[in-house]
Amino acid sequence: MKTELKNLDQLLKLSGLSSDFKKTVILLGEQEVSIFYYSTLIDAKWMQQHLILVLQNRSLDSEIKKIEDIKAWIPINDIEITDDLTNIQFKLLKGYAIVQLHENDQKCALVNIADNHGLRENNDTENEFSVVGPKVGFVEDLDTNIGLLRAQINLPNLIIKEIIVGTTSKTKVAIIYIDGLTNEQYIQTVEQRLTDIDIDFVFDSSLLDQMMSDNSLTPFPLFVSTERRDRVVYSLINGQVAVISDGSPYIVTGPSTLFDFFISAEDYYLPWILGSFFRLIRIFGVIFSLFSTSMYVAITTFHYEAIPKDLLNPLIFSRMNVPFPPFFEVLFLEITIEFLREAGARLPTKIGQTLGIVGGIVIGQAAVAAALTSNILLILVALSALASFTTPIYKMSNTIRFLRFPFIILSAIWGGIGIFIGVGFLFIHMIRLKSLGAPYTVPIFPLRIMSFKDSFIRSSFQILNKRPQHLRPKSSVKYLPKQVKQKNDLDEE
Amino acid sequence: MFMRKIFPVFILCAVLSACADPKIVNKICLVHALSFDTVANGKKSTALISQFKEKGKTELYVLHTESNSNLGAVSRLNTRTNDPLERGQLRMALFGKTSAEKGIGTEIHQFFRNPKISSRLQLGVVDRDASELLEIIKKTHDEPFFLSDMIEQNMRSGNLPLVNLHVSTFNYYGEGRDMFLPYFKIDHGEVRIDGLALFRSDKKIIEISMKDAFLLKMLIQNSKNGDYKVPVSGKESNKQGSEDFIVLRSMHSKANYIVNKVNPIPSISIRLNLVTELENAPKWVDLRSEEQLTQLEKTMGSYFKKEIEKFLSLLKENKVDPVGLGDLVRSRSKEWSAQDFEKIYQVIETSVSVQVKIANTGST
Repeated sequence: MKTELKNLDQLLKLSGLSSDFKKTVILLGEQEVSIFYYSTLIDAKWMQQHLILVLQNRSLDSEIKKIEDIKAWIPINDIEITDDLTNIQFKLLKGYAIVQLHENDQKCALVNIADNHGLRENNDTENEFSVVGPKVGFVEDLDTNIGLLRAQINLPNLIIKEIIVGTTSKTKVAIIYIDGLTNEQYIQTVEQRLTDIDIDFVFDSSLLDQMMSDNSLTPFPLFVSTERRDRVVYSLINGQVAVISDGSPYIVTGPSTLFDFFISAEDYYLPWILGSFFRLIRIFGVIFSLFSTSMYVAITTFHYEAIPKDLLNPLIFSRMNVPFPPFFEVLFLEITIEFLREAGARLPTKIGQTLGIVGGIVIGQAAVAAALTSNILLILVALSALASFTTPIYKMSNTIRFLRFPFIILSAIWGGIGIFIGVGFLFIHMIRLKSLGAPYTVPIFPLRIMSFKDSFIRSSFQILNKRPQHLRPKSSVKYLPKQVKQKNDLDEE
Repeated sequence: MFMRKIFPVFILCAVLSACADPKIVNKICLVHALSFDTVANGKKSTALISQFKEKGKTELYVLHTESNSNLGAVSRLNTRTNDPLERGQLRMALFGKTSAEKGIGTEIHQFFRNPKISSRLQLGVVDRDASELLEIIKKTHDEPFFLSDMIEQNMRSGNLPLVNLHVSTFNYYGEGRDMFLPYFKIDHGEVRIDGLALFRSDKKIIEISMKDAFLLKMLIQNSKNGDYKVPVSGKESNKQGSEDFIVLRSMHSKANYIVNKVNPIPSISIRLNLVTELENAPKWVDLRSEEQLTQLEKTMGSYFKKEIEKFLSLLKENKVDPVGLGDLVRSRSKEWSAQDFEKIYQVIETSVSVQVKIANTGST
């Protein structure tokens, strides 16, 4: 992503699109000196004390003639006088301030007043872990979060648009996108929907998520919301829009597709074969989690002839003393698991661990011993609960856990046919969903063959050199595939 | 708007379809094997049912009923159990000798029609009353799938050609081919598969040994894993009366049929390719010598040729066609009819050539 800039003014104009790009004018004698900086990248106190105050004090007894004088005036070591535009752009985005003596001057001073990029002591991700890769997560402060993003995306085109949402709370909400890359349709949709929101209080970005969503009659989350920085950066450079509200460590990105929810940042840090394997495991886990218990109900209640002969004895034996029909047996265990999860999420961490032991061992063992459930079902329910947690985005794993129940009820009424009726309804519902007006089940429907490169499997970086076309980015090539892994052996030279 | 549309759909679905009839797996009584016999005063049906009492153990029960027809046997047996009898896990159907000779068409049709019955159901013929076999199974094994497992095991790693309800209905209803089923024999209270029972239409005509079953397997499909014993006479064992044997195991076989002529009398040449492994060879054979192996291959080839010709003439003599020669001719001629072919079946010309290759000489 490159933008051709001709002079300093153009750079300042482009940067000026973002709301965190600030201009301060100070008067030095007769002279108006402008200072430009990204407020999210610099240390405001440092700037106040060592730049503005010093300049003002010195101007009382001497006059600034040329830009080089600044170097002598300001007690900061890292000062550079330059008219090299690339350098200015690079340094500006690293937290330097531009000091411009006269308007339209090409030569300016770059003063290092960079903050340590908003990294606070404890901003590890709390809910979205990865073993490999960075653990940087967002915090509750909006400026810190934007600083975190700017620290990684070194582009003046990274635009941050702030708007105020909430009649009572007056929460600062920022729309983040890359200008000249993200499709304007999405930006306008997000902006329009956010400005149209008429709500008194915005507690969290997940509220914005619900307000913005295209369809509120769905259990599916229509936007990915994440606290991982690498995830947001990746969606921004792919041409998605991000929305963040002050006071929330979660950034909402969109438009999202169903597959985005099964992608973990770790897929990209592992070799592509392993990344693809883990992604397939995750998708299998979701399918298993959705259908295992309802299949159990269907088979034990209606389709006994489908049981393999070697499973017949264990299955019948495990159900022998259970007084309920399979439906109530499954419902009992599934609700128990939901109780456990809900209680575990609400309790303090230390008690939560105890609860896990009580729930897992005591209830599980006792329920089988008291012949309330069969132990085969116990394994199935535990596995499907486990599989539902493999989904990297928590909102989606909630959805999957919820969707199990309609399937169990359908399978209790109509057996296997009921499950297929349910699958039919689910598919019809899914292909009708839209996220910011973009189809939700892409690349399957509408079929986009090229987007399969990064859906079920994560292809190698040589193949992933283009942005996903279903996002309709304005520039599609990320890098040239041949240069990604160019290797020269020493003796080849 | 959305609810107004979707709500009637749900209501209609629920009202129109109602609930399916549940058959909870531990509240039904599973029938694992059925047998049909002809007795003096009508027909006798026997069912082998199981009850799961403790882990890994199954208790088997045998129920009998006698009536003038086999139809509705299971519903008659229902009057004797506490849970409803269900045939969905039926894996074996047996026919007594007399019953098989009188015809088993109605029973096959009944199985074929029932969607709950697996098309992998095994059918078999017993050399006496089939109910006796079920009694023996109940007494000696507590394994409900013993018989079907036995047949399947022999198909996979023995001489039995692939046969189940699916194959048998094809052979039975297909024109120009005849059905064959595994044939059980009871010896001193023990069960064994003695070979195949060959049918004409739905009536059993003859039975063949396991040795001939291998020939049939070779003629209709890949005879992988089948065993065969070939007598050889070598230079050093030229003493009178003594004969040595080679036991071979088929690794792969393929039969090619060429119809040379259709009218008026069809002539078919059969080319068999057999790749074998020697399980056992007489001491005097030097397995490392190329010449001797080539010699052996030739001897075995001509022995197989002789045996297959003998087998084919047996089939023609009895007017049964498990190989499907009629179907083969039908596929090459426009004016083929089952009646016409039946008349000339005994005189059709068949020539056999067998190519044996020894791929592996080590004993395994």
